[in-house]
Amino acid sequence: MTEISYSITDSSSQARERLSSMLTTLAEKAGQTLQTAIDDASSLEVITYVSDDMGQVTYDVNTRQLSGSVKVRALTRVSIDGDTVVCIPEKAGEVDTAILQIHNEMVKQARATRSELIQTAFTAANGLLERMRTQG
Amino acid sequence: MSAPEAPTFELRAPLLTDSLAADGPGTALPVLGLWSAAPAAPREAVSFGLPGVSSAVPPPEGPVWRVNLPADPRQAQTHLSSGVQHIRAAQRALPGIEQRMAALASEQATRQQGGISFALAPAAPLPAPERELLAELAYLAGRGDPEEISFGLPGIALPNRAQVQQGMAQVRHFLRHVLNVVANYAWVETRQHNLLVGRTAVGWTGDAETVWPQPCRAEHVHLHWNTLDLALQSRTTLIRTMIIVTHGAVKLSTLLAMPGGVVLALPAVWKCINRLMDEYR
Repeated sequence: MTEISYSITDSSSQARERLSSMLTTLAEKAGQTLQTAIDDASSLEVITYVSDDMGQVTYDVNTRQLSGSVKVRALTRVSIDGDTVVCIPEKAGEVDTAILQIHNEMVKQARATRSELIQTAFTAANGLLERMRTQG
Repeated sequence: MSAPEAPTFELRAPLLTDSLAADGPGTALPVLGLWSAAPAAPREAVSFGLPGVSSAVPPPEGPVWRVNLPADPRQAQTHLSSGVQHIRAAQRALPGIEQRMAALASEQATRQQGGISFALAPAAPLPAPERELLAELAYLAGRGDPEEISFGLPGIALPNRAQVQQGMAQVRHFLRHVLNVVANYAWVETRQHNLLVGRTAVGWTGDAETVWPQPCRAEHVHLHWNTLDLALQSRTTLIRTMIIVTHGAVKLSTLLAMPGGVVLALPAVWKCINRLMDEYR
């Protein structure tokens, strides 16, 4: 009588190893990102630029700023203690209200993004604690 | 009369360049059912401005959430709103899905404590996605032959080896997307009829740098705001989905009682969560 194995675990061990490795990398990256996010959380910065040539715009990951054919038109920096620095755009000696309005909307969205991040980070942390509790 | 211009929602990611070829066809499912996965553009092909304008600008290091909308402003806004609704529906579904996974794991744990492994005939009838998940886990654990499991669960088709491996490749693909969005800034681009009308780099803590073409038109601004909202909501939804998938796999892997059970359970749990997501939509 021939023994038939219905287990498919052996044949997919390579696929499992790759998936396992992906999970490990993901966990490491998530940890690093969380650490960076905590380090960066002391201030919130929003910058609005305009460009005559969007094709030449680049982003410097190290300085965290756009460069190339761009002009800074407005900047807001909010510190964790509430101190706020705002550079208001000017056009022919007047406040450029159109750009300012666009910029203010971006600041509002940035605040919402930060709040969402904190919520997601707490959800992830709670899940981790729950896992530790059930395994401990 | 020309046909309406179709919008595109793309998630371009550097890490996917190799993996798309390695994992084969059928693994690159649209992210959250909306964003088509595409490898990052090669350096020479990158142009952030007018079509046909060559550029030596290097591609962004992180993922690019790119939306290309029709030239007609009303059509463009309609497509974008429909994308936003799609992601909001997924967000609304997630808490319910999380509860269902937790309830399933809890019931299984209780039955396991009572000496019953794999409740193929649970006390209360389970919905199809949960039944299928349990059947797959039983099958993966090698606790019964497929015919017996299928007999206990009529209408459920168990996966063959190739399907299990494809499931693993799909999960790996999904996790790569998560890895990409976790490890990098979000780059968000709005195009209308291939013309770049707004671009933003957003960090994890909300820091944002946006560039607008000059002169800046109000309709373009609104389109890019909505694209940005869509991309950021998608980023959060992707991570929340990943959290639910991994928690579900961790809890249910105890049923497999074998080393690497979490990894083995992941594709089945991921598939189940996708089915539940379709139900809620």
